[in-house]
Amino acid sequence: MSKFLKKSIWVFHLNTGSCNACDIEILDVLTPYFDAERFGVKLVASPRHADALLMTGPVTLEALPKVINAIEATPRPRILIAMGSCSVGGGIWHDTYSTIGGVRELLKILKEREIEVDHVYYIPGCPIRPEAIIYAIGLIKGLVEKKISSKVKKAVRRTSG
Amino acid sequence: MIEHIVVSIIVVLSIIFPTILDGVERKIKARIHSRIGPPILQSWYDIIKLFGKEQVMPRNSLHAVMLLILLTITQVFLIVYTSVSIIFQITQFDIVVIIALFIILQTIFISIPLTIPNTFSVLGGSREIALTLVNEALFIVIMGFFIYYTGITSFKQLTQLSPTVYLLILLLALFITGYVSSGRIPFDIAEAEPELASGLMIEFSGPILGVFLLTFHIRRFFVKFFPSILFLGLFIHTPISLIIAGFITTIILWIIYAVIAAILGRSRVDLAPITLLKIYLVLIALSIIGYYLKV
Ligand code: SF4
Repeated sequence: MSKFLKKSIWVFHLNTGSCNACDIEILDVLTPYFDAERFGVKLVASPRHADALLMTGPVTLEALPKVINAIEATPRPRILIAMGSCSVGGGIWHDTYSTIGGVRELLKILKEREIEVDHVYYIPGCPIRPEAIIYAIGLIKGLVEKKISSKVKKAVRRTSG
Repeated sequence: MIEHIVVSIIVVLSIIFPTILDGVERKIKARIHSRIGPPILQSWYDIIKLFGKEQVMPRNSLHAVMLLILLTITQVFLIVYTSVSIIFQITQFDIVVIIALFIILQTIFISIPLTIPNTFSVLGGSREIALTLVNEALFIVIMGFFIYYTGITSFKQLTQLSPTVYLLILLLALFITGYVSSGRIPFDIAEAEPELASGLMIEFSGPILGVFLLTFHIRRFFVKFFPSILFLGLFIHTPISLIIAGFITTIILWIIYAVIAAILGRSRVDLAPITLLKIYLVLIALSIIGYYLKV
């Protein structure tokens, strides 16, 4: 990721069928108390201006075409940030009839359509805490190290063969 | 020789500095909100980042790109012309040329969003037209009165002027046009960020958006610089001191406007232009009365 992209992250809020609790936490991060702007983060109103898409919700079938359009409209390099349990793994809707079950499935669909996503970040939580969002910003900017336990590392190694 | 150096420095600064001033404005707003806010160079970081991004444009919007390039070139030319003509008189009608160039710029500015096939963009463009019909039209009227009262058409002739109440009222109206032209709250109805999804610039991305923002910052600088020079011309009669004082006053004005914008609330879309028109008409009427009473 380029140095200036890390210094100026413009985010577009993409609700893909969340219960709105995660969305309220995103607004919380932008309030003076948490002040995400001090990290160069700016909420933009058009995906054309965005560097990162803040995705909340498990991606309902109804929202899917619009989500793909919004991701395609974002100029590269594009970052996808999956926010909340729903978005990360489908949450309590991981196997319901009307959702695709989170970002993993979405990435598969995007790959089929040859739509590239350059970086993916995951923020779990139900709803996500504002501190967790700030931590994710820190990760993107390289201010903090990626924390991953040896258990997870082993599991990942095992599944990837 | 010294004059050439001063003009060159002012020209370079008036292209680079507005984006830094935008960063200062963001910092001031943050401090008023009791936040830390972004670094002062943040607006430059944003623009440099945009130059490294992919360019995505919708189909059939090549006209917008051409007009944007024209807008940028004319804006830079305008700032160069203004700075040079303050020290070296280029024609006897420098002020008139600047007004004409500014009107051409505004016309290009409002036609860009109308050439993009996007509803939000067209809606933002229409709002900008409504505002232009009040603000920039009244800018011409105010400048017309200024020239009629004083008979002055170039910066060199400013030395003949002395401050009077009717001129000061007219200049106050000119400073207000500067505030409105810079697209600050509540006159940012063309962008109306969440409501119109950034309105007139919704479809711009990457380098094109960077160029647009850069031009917009230079435009914000110009609309403060020009009235400042006319105002200071009433008191300062040497060109070099005038241009330097004009530059410093523009920076101070930028900070004052930033504080005003942070304090003011949003207005209704239809209410902002009408209120503005009433203010201008009252100020122009007062200046006419002052002119005939010779105060
Ligand atoms: S993760 Fe929890 S809070 Fe967030 S959208 Fe899903 S259910 Fe709502």
